[in-house]
Amino acid sequence: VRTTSLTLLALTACVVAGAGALSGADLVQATDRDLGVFLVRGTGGWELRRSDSGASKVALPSRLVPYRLEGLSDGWVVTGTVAQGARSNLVVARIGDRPTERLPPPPDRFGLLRTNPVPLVANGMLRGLAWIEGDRHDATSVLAAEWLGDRWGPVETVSPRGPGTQIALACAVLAGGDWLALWSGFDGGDDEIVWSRRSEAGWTAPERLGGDNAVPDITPAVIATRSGALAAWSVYDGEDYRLRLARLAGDAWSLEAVSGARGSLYPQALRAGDRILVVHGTVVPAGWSIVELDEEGGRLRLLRAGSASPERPILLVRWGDALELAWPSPAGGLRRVSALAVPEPREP
Amino acid sequence: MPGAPIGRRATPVLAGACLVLSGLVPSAARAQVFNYLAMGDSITAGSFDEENGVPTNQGGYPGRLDAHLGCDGSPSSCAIYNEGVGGNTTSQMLSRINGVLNQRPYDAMLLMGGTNDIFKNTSNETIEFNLTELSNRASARGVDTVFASIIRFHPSGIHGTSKDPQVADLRARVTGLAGQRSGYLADNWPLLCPNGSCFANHYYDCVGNPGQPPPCGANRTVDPVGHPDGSGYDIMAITFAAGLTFEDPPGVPEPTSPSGTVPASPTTYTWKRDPGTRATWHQLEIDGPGGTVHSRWYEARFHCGGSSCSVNPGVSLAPGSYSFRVRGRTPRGRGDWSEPGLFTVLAPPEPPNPLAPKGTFYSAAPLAFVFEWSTSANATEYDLEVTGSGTQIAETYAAASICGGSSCASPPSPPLSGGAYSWRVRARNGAGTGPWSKRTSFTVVDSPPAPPVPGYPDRSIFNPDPSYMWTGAKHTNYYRLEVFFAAGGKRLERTFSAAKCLGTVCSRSTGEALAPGNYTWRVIGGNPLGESPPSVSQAFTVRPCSPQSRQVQNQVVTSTVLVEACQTVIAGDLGAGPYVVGAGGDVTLYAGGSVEIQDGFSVSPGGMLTLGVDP
Repeated sequence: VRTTSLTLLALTACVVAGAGALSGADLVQATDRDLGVFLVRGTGGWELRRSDSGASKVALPSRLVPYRLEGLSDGWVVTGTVAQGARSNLVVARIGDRPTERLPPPPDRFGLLRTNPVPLVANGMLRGLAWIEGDRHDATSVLAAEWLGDRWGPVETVSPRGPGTQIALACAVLAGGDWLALWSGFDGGDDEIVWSRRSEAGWTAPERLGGDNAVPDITPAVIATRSGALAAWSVYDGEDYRLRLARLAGDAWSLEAVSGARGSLYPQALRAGDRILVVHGTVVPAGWSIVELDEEGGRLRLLRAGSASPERPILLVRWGDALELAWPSPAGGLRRVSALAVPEPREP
Repeated sequence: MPGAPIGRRATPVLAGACLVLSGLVPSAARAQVFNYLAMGDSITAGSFDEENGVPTNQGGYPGRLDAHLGCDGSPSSCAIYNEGVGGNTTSQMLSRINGVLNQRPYDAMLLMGGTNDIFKNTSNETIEFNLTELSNRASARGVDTVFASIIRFHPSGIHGTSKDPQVADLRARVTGLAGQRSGYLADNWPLLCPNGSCFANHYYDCVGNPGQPPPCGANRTVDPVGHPDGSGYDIMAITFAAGLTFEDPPGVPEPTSPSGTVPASPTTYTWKRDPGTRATWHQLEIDGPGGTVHSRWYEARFHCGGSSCSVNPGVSLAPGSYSFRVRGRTPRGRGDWSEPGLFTVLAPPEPPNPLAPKGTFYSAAPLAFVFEWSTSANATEYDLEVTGSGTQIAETYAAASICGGSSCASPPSPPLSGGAYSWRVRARNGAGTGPWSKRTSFTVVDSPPAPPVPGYPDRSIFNPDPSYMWTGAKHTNYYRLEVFFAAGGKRLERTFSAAKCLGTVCSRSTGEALAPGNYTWRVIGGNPLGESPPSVSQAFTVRPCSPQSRQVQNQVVTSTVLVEACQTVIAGDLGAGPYVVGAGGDVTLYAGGSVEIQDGFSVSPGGMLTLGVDP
């Protein structure tokens, strides 16, 4: 069901099966190989589901809090954390048609908390892992390690312990093979988006993305583009959080003006072919928005899907350029809502 | 967090009779209801509020709090509105709160958030920032904030106790915010986990073990963080109530200023806080002649220091009588209104009324004057201005030093020599300077008058007792008329008051007939300083009267004509006036009716007089 109306939102509830709902702790979607694949906590344990076919059980810890799912040439890699008392341990596992393979945790652990594990995947191969580690939530370092095929390389410090919390790590492997890491870091006044890039020379010193300001910049997402990368995060404009996009070309970032509806939060960047899709929730109007961009990060259109569900959906490409948001149920159903193009909002 | 918001949002979650819904009670009564806003996420919404898998339908902690606070439906009672939304982060609440606050006038906001922020990779620094902003939004609308720490994540949940340090740190931050602001904290953090050990039976029981019934099963939602169950919400409601009922509503403040009469619209209003209470807000209400001028809540932390509070409401009051009153408020409730503080805003004073000097003063030597005027209400100063005869005096006097009773008197002025003067006075107070009084004139005469100039009679006349006419000088109080026989010797002497003259032109008869003959007359002016030299002597002749010989008929008059005794003037068409009585004998004039003119008349130049025959 689709309409060409620019303003009318048509909601299509396709399948509602089972009861209950899934939180962000129960669901993670592959971001760039096959958007139709997602890992979900089913009623009988973890399942790797395809939106258009069945599901397969995956042997993962029942208490896993998944963080990322990335496609490999021969399956997927899922990362997440498992709490053990006051400790938070990393989980890195290769899943798919073959039996689940748990990779060893990165070496040289020094902190009680290991969180935000982001797999670094290039050409279908797991290249490394970045994560945040420390004894307290507000006394952490950003770390990374290269995956050498059978073991982790030495732990690399992307960002040492800062003046406050470092959190919400997002990473991408750039076209040339460099690694890019972004996170939200407290600078003594407020949270800023901080980035660092790993080349053959190592990690660059962390820098603010977008300069200093006096308001929080939070929860970044990043995805590689043909010429660099696209980052998206939320920034407080004095009344609401709104979306901010930035493009990396070469070594330079260019920032887009703050945009989006009121309460544009928790962006996730995904790839569908040569399109980049930034999914984020909005508070007013309540629902979800998708910024569709081309391979270079140029804006193509804005789509909206009205839904009162506060839980993050998965994004599905139905046919052509038609997009849907879907909320899986633990029992296996999908509640789908069409995303329709809407005019870009005027000045917020 | 997961789970739809419990469906009691935006309605009072009051049990029993406390249904203070719009339209059910008179507006005046409804305005007294103390409205609580419960702002938060699913834990505020009351998600997972069940016991043994059965929903309690009690609406989480807000639905239970009303009974603890005594919200009983009375007009002065309270209502609690649940605006918890499942899954909400503090970042999202910022986009909701304006709309929520617009729904009705709230008094206090119970603010609990952060659980979902932690879950969604947001730092405590940002959560604290957001909570501060939320509280600021409420403050801007006069709404107090009761901060609440969040409960610990369920230790058996998927996060274990790994989030405990962050939750504890957030508790410390929230406690700090509460201390900076209302001072009220609902400390939920240790609630379900006293002494570090959690009561699992107060948490919703399906946490992180899907597919392993009981308690989890296909029909039950897994709780990723740890919500209270029904018994947990019971405890949480008690915790909120304990924070709010720990103290009584605030006592009564005492207005201190403005009071009495103030010279201008007050900029600052001050009052004493009632001792022993900690009102977090004060409502200032200013009432004037036309009703309430100003009513607004002010946050104590910005406006109070020690035992006193002061605000500048930015209200400009016109002169008049006013009162202001104050009452305190805590998240527990509103206190009683203070007694009104009464004050009057002054207007600039009305102009005084000059009393003295006025008129004419005779003195050969210069005179010093004491200027007197009536007091103007609320005047603090007076300006005196005297001008005339080359003199200018401008003085300002303090009212307290020159006024007593209903009048004020200046110190003696510098001596004023002869001449014409005028003076005026105006009053001033803190509200400004009033208008000048009317000018009052007075004259100082320092010499006898100049001699008068005699006029009529100056010819042969028939009237044996003519009206003597002369032009006097200024400042003449009286005239002395002397008539002499032409041959010598005074025939008679009369003294007349100058007050009966028309300006300086005087006309008087002596009341004594003169025998036909030749005479002279002169006149002398006088005032308290002496008499003028005699005027020049004027000669005249009294002739016997022969009435028929002096008739004038149909005579066109183009200049003043004097009509004398023995002359009968009849049947005249007077035409345009004016007609001025002149000197002469008794005359009767008939003109378009009858006009009786005594003692002669004259017609001004340009007028026309036609005299006819007596009918």
